[in-house]
Amino acid sequence: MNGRHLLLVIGAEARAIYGRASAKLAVVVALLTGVVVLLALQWLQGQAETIQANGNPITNMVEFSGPAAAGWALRVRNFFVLPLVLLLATAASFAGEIGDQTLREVLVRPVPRWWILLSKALVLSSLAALTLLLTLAPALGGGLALFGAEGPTTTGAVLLGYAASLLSDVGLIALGLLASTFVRSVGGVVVAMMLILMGDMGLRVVLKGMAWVGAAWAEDVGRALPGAALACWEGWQGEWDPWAFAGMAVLLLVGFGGTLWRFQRMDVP
Amino acid sequence: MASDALVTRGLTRRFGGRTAVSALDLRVQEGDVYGFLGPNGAGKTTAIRCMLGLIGRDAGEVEIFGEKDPVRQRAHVGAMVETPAFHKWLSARDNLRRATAFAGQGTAADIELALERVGLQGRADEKVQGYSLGMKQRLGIARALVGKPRLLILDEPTNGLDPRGMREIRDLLLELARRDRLTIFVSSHLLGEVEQLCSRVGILERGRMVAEGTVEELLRRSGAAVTEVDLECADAVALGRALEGIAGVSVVGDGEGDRLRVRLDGLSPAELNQRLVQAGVAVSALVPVVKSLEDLFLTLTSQELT
Repeated sequence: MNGRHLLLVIGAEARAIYGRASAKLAVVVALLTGVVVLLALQWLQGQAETIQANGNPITNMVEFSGPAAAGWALRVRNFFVLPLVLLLATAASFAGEIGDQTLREVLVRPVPRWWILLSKALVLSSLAALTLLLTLAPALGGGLALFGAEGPTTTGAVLLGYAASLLSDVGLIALGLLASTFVRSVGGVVVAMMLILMGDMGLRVVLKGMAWVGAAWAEDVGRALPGAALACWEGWQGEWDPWAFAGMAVLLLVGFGGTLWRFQRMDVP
Repeated sequence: MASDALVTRGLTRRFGGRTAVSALDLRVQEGDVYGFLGPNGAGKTTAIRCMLGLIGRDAGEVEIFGEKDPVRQRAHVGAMVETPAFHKWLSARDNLRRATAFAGQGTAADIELALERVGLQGRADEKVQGYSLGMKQRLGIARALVGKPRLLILDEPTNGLDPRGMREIRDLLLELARRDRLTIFVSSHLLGEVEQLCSRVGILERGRMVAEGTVEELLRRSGAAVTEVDLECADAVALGRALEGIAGVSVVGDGEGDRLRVRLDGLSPAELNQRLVQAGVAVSALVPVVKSLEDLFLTLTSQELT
């Protein structure tokens, strides 16, 4: 057991995770998102005369610039599909391996369990980063080439949005790994996570309602819930919410810490 | 004197109110081919999982080559537990590469050698999803061999193999034990196979070790060694009369033609032969009925073979 051994384990984990259909799907969806958003903006720009709202051409309402294209691509990327695919990749790499018993085959080797968890978290995070790059590159690069950089949206702001999205993805991975220690099937993890996040969303609506009728604390609590933490990336569009980042710190601690605690004690069939 | 390869002391594992493995003490010496026997549900796989650290234990300890740290222990071990599982979208060779990465040692040459030993080198680049159960079983053994183990722990390694495959694996294990001096711990309920393969055996019944030793030792200790002989004699009446006069001999069943089976109590087959000659009975054949491991197993476990 040494640094070289750990690197070998991470490499082996990378080959396994990147070889899965879910990782390939994540890569394709991420790339398509950047390209499709760029093409959609280009098409929209050409429709100034035909698409109007209240007599104003669409081109007056939508910003056309490289950073704006990258910003739209980020919004589309983070809307449901890619987080779901990342969650699938996470669940497949842990719950899936417990279920199909391939995890057992590495646990009989001379590696501590935390190495396995660390290598999975690192490789899944690298997959999340890769998908962000694959969305960003065509949207920003193509957008700069097609529309230029002029506009209210700055490249710096949108890049911060992508960086915060990576944090958000890592938070999702942490939750997915934790869920995998309870629900030992890919479908089960995805369903459980959807239910948790839907419950979280419902709770935030209730807390918002309570804040509206006078309970000021309720809004602050809602801003630190996991769902709000996972949406911390949205701050790039206006104001960053420190509560969301505080919530993310707790989420990462609970997610990875809880997974490690449970995994160390788990019976693996 | 050979050192201990695998030792368990008081190994215990419970599932709720059920004790799957109860205070298991066993000792496998370096160079042994140790057969771990027991009927289905006796706790063999649970015990193996405890030894490998796949599941926790409620009490007891495991030592492998004197090492108590579970991670360090596994550096000496190549294991196959139940039906081996693989990343099906990877080729056989890539699955073995993965195993060497997790083992932290082993080269491409080791992988090729392991594939050759189980006869899969010609199909190593095919994805495992196209493999039959028997091929997966062979690949599982190949995977256990990479990483330069000193101890192989194999749980039912011939499951899913046809008779030819079973024989090949048995020969391979014997070769690994003799040529490579590997210590092998193999669980099975195929008693004939274990009898041919193993130098020592342990029999598990309801989570407890009920017998441990060499096959010969166990047969002798249980008194299951030669206790019956088949006699062949043209003059059955003279034979019957002579047997009545010899103490410690009783006839088993009615006999068949000129054949008769007798049970000996404190008398060896040679002594019986001598008495019959002295009585003037011309016995044309005297065949000792050798009890097998299967008989011993049935006696100790009081169960039907599965």
